[in-house]
Amino acid sequence: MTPLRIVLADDHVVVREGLKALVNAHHTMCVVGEASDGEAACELSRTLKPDVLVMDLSMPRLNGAQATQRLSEECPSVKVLALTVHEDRGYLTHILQAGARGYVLKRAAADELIRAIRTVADGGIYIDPMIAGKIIQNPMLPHAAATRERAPLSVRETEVLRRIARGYSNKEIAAELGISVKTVETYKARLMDKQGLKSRADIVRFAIRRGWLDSECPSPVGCTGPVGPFPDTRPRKS
Amino acid sequence: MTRLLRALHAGRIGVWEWDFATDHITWSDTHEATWGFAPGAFPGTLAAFLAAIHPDDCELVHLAIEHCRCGESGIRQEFRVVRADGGIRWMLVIGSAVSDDLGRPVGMTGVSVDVTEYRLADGARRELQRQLADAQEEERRRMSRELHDHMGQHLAALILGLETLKESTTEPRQRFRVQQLQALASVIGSEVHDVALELRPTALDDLGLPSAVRHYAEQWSGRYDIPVDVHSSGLDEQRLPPAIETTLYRIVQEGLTNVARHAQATRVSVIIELRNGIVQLILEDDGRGFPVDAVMNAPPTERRLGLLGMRERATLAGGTLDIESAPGRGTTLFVRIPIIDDATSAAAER
Repeated sequence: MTPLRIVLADDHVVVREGLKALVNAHHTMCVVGEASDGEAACELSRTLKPDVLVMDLSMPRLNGAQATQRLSEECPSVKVLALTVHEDRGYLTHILQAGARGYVLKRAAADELIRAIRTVADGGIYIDPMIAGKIIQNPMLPHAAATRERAPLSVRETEVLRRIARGYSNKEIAAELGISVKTVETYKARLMDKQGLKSRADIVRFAIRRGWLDSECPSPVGCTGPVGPFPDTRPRKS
Repeated sequence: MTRLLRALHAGRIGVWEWDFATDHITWSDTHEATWGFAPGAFPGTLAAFLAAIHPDDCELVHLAIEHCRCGESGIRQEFRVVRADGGIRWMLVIGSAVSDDLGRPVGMTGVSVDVTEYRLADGARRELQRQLADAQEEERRRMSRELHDHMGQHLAALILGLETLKESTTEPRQRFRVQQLQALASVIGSEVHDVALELRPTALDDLGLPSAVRHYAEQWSGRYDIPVDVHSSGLDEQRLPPAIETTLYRIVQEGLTNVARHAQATRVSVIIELRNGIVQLILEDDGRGFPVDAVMNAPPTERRLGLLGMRERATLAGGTLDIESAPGRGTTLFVRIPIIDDATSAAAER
């Protein structure tokens, strides 16, 4: 069996040296090239066509995400494995969207990295368990908000809900509809109960699903800025 | 009377009186002097009064007058006056309606004080505060980068080096010890990450506000076991100016800290939207709420200082912060900041 051909890209020489020693210690894989910035990593990948490119996210000239993006267009056969100190989920999402096949933390155990390289080379996706664990145990995972309308809404209720979704304060809604703040509060509590909405963010999503935020409608006042109708900048969701 | 006049002169305080019946406004000499009128030059009409006001402030003053005229409230307004010589002065006008025996408003009276120096000093204070905040933020950014780029990388190298060491022996006890050291280095790596995050998340610069807020909210949520629902829109394509991203991020941090300390909430929403040139951040919890006016007017408490700090941040970024809350009704913070491009903001500074 021919060993897996690996290119390493990291601007930290100490890390690269450590990686190289680790990878070469496994007879099923070998390091065929090294780069210390994103440009060089792309260049090497184009000429060497390795099986896997192990790449740091933050590098000079073309960072990891940009380089991944470029490679996934220019040589899609090269699988990118991101190796990083960043533990935020945002980085993970970002690099996977750019086309990376794996994400491993630099503080991960060494055999973790070897496993990741194998998985990615075999066409799989590898996410560091320390990050994956965070995602799963997180109480914030999108809870299945009520998608069906449980009870029909009256015109007034719709008016109130729409404005809450638009970011109006209760005071502003009260002033605009000519009702008291207390009444607005009562409407809001009743509506949330009726539609099974648990939070203000739920209300916003509820409104988006109904396309309420697509139409033009004044934004709340309260600070200076352009007035009048405005184009909706929300991504359209059906 | 002369003593009073001397005092008014010394304090550069103008006295004014407006009779609704004759629609005539009477100014004291000191009033004419501070507004840059020659003695006796003020004709006593509302039109002449309004004409002296800076065009941008005219509507504000007009509104304040109307409110006062209807007897709704007294008047207390700061605005700019353009003097005959072209100089611009800031005036504070304080007054109230005068009623007849039947309680009908028949006029208004009050004083006008030149507060230009105070305004300028206040502007300078704000500028200093902004610079201070910027410098602190820059320092935090630098330290956070340093932790990630240097300590983080060296730890990675250490872990890899230990692996080589482990592989160099087959003696089980030694291998076990090295493994323990690797685990320790990994824990340090995790702690370095947490410290860097607390200082300033690199994601704020690298990925933008929604991503950084999401991550912070996740960490917070895990720590306090309170679900946080983050929603953002309008920010996928467009990045906000860095200073505004920082402001909003810090307000979310401070706001969530308040929720953890005081709210006893079971759910929190964080909504960030950019629409119509205004970015709005809404932080809402379903906790026990508090009497806003009572707390904000009370002597400093931890909570009040927290809220004032957030408001100050919003103000320095050119925005507003409004609080809506009542006991038993949860709390909602509304932060609104207009996004102005550099050219416009430079013009506004002048």
